Amino acid sequence: MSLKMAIPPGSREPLPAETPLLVIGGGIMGLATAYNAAKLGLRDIVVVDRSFLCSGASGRNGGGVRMQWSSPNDVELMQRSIDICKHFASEMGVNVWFRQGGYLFLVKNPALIPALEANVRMQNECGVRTRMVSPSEAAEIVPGLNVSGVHVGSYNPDDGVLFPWPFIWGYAHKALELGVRVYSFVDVVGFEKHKGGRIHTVHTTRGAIRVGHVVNATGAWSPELSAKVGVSIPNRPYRHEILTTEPLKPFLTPMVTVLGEGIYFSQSMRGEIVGGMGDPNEPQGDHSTSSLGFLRRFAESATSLIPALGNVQVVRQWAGLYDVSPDGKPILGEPAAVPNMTLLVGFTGNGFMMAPIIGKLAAERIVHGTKVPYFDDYNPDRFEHGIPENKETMIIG
Amino acid sequence: MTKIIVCRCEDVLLSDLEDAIEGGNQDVESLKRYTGFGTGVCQGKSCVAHVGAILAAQLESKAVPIMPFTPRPPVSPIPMRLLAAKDDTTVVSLRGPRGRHKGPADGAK
Repeated sequence: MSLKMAIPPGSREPLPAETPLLVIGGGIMGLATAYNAAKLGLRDIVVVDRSFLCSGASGRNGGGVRMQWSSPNDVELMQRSIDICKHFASEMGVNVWFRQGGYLFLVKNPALIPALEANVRMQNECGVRTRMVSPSEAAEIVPGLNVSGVHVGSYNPDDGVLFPWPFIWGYAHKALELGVRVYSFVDVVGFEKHKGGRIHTVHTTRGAIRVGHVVNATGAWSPELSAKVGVSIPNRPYRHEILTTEPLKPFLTPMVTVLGEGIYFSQSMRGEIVGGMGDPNEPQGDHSTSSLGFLRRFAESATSLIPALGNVQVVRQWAGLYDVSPDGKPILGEPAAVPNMTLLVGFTGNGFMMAPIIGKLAAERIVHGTKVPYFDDYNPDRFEHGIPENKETMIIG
Repeated sequence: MTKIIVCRCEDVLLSDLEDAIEGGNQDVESLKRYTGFGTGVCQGKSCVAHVGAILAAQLESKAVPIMPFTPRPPVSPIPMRLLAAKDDTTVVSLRGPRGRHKGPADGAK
């Protein structure tokens, strides 16, 4: 793969004096939005990132894409996102190692069964092929699976995994081809607003830029950035750890996860087992150091599920940040106080897989003013009267 | 055509790295994400210095500091059964086969 970029993201060039659309955050959400907006004909778009591309959660996640959720909105969004994933390689000219091996949710806590059954019915109504599976069926899907303690599972064969890094390069490359300017290592330091709340100038570590519209796609760092423009949003960063093993001959078809226990793992197209495990005791914070405790917890859980993994060697561990929203659902759209800043944040560990469709919808909304119902449901002002009761419960990690 | 392999775990060629640098990936972290170098079993121990040198040579006069990528644990590959072991004697035996440390029996003296 060789992509020639008109203005290399690593260049030290100054920013242009003005832009109709400044996207802050060069992760997948920001790049997908910039690419789609450019495709709709908007010119002179600028993307800035404070570090290198792939430095944040977009470069640190497990690459899972799935349609199994508890909210119909999330199911529909992910049906559309996975459709985009299917054509991404040919449309963007980059191999993203996309493989639809399904997601297998296992249930060890019987209290979770009724809700899972209801979710599967709802997913079926949306047209998703999820089905409940018995422990013995689960063992057929995953050879070597130890099903002791497993009551039931749900399996959708159309869920999948991909390799996050080339997905970013695909969007970055095509955006650059369409004239988008992408600047890495540029941090935003402040905003200037008109009286009505609209932002007119953004100050960065590489100078000021006049803006028509701003997208805040900074994930776990978005509350901090929003605060600089006087907007308070309730999403918060939490560290999540992940690891990868030596590559193995393909044997594991789906992503395997245990509902409510935080563990997930799959086999990438490169052959590695890639997996993580959320820690319910993880404090809020934006650090991403690695711990031995995570290795031990993950290894214990993974080898109890598939004992043969005991001989598989861990080669690398790292951590990234979940951008956790109070109801587990994204925070999308413009806060009343700043009508020309679109928030695309709060994805609670699911931003990578939702970005292909969210970037498209956000671009249509910004460029053409298209009404997007999901943005009404997920509007940033919904937390004014407390946390909505209807939470997304199929969160992994 | 002669192919020069820089990252032997992931088969990343010198020409891949040169193309990536020319394409705008002008720091070691970006090169890792762009080419996948350093993500195999050796985790960059045999190639990251070469990549730094290739980057320095290609950037020539642009004199920016070149840093290695963030090293990630573990230092060398570890089987999951040892990580999953609950009693510490098993963890101590991790050191046995390498010959640099005494095994658990010797350590108990």
